[in-house]
Amino acid sequence: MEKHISRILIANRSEIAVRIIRACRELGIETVVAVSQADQDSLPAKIADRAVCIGSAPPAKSYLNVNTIVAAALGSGAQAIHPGYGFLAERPDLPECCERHGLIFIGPKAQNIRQMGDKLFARKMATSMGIPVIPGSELVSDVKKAKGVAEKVGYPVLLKAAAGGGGRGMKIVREPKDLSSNFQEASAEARTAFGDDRIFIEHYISNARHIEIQIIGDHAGNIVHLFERDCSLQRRYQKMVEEAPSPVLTPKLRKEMCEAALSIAGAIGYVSTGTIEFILDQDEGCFFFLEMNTRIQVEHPVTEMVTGIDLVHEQIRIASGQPVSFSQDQVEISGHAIECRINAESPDADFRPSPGMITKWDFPDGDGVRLDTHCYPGYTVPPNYDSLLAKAIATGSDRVEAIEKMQAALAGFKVSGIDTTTPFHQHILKNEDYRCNRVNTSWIENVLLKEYQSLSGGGK
Amino acid sequence: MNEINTDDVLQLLEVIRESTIDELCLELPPLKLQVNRKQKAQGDIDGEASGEEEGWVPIKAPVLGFARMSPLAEVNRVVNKDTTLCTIDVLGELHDVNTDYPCRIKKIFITDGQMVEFHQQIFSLEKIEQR
Repeated sequence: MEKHISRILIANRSEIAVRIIRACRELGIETVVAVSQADQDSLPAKIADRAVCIGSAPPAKSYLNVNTIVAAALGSGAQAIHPGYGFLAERPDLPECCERHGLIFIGPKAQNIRQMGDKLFARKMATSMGIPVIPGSELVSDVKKAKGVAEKVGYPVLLKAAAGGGGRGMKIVREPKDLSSNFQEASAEARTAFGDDRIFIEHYISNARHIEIQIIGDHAGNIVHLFERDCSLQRRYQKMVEEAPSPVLTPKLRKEMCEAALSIAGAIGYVSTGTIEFILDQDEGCFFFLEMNTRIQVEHPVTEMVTGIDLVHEQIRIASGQPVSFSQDQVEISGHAIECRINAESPDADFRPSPGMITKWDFPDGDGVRLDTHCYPGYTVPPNYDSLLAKAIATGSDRVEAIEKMQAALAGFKVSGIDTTTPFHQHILKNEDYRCNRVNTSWIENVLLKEYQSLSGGGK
Repeated sequence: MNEINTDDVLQLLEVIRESTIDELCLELPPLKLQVNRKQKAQGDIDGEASGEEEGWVPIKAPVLGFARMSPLAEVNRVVNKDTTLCTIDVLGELHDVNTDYPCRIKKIFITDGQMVEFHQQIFSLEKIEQR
């Protein structure tokens, strides 16, 4: 049954809030943006039809408060809430609270979020469907047990926090003698970061690519994929450059991964946009299921640029009860797209955060380059949130052209007042290993950073 | 006659409140008391924090939520310390807005049931000095 949506509350900030406002305008939908006190002068607050102040700057006092967000939607006459990514996007209590108060949650069902948020459940489900998972264990509670599991799955191993994310509580152990100290450190980090020190152990794949499949499902049970993104360029498990399609995926592997992604999403009756993440072992030419993200991803624009499909439009339409607006046969990849995440960080000072006022902001978008941002001259980047300033997305007829367009855009990007990661992105784009696809998920940290620091005198 | 104290004023105002008096001007130096109960009917509840006067204290919403007004929240009413002027309801989480001192309610910026934003001004109060 279709439900009318004429006003949406956006429970997020920064570039994704701007992105959602733009999509709503294109669909003729009014927007109310929920802002913290620190964001009252932000671009989303200026361009939305209305901004409502939901609390003080710390996320726990504003963007992470489910009841406040739902009250803001009810009080401003919105029929639906878009959570963006991060904050409440993968909290099942938000869609549950929306349902209790007659609001539409623009995202997956609470049950979908809960199921896929439980990494062990997701892993078991994939295994039961014949989809390979990285050899590993269930939860390990002590060092003695960890040693036994590590021997069984084979070194090197990766210790991961059960409640983890963002690389915290993760340790690579290459030799048995290092297991004990790393296990204790990982547990302590996990306890500090997540209040949960449970750890599980996986075999560590050294020469890995991070490949993820974009899927989208509707209430009628239709699920389609929009092929893959390659997000292998990471620093401390944070993606820095993403592209679509992957430059290394064979047609056979692409087909297998897309089919696996559809199977997983289909098994849980997934609704809305979602991403199934895989690790590609470049030495063995095989892949493993990693996890599912039940939200719109930061890097969704590269998929939009090569498929011509607006994922935020689709999310909103599906939330209102409409079916996916295209069939699997209609999804084709055309050209190549690359995204650089421009952060307010100083690459010459070990990526130290660089909040402050932007005094100059001049980005040469157009000619195949899209900029998703909330920044403008005079905007003060607050210290309370993540450091993402903008996503530059370059699209070309092929990868070489996309890289060239990105290089031209970044060369012409003038920003003053704060430091950004742009010089480091330029360093990546001109590197021969990157251009020739000789990279993996640890290449930035193991190879490029050392080279960059020796050239720039950075990393102090 | 002894000097009038705050309790006397509060008692007097309670008598006036129970009465049908619309306007009263009482001068007992150094006290000057003016009561005008017509103002509210004339629409004294403003949507904006305008017309502030010196000495008025702005009271802001501690959270975003729906205002549930106390019957005591009336313009020109004098209230004691720790009086609940309104409660902000955030889906059942209740946050009382109380007075920190005896005061007169000078302005009310919201109506019952209205959504108030975080730190939105909801009252202007005038402190009544205790002797």
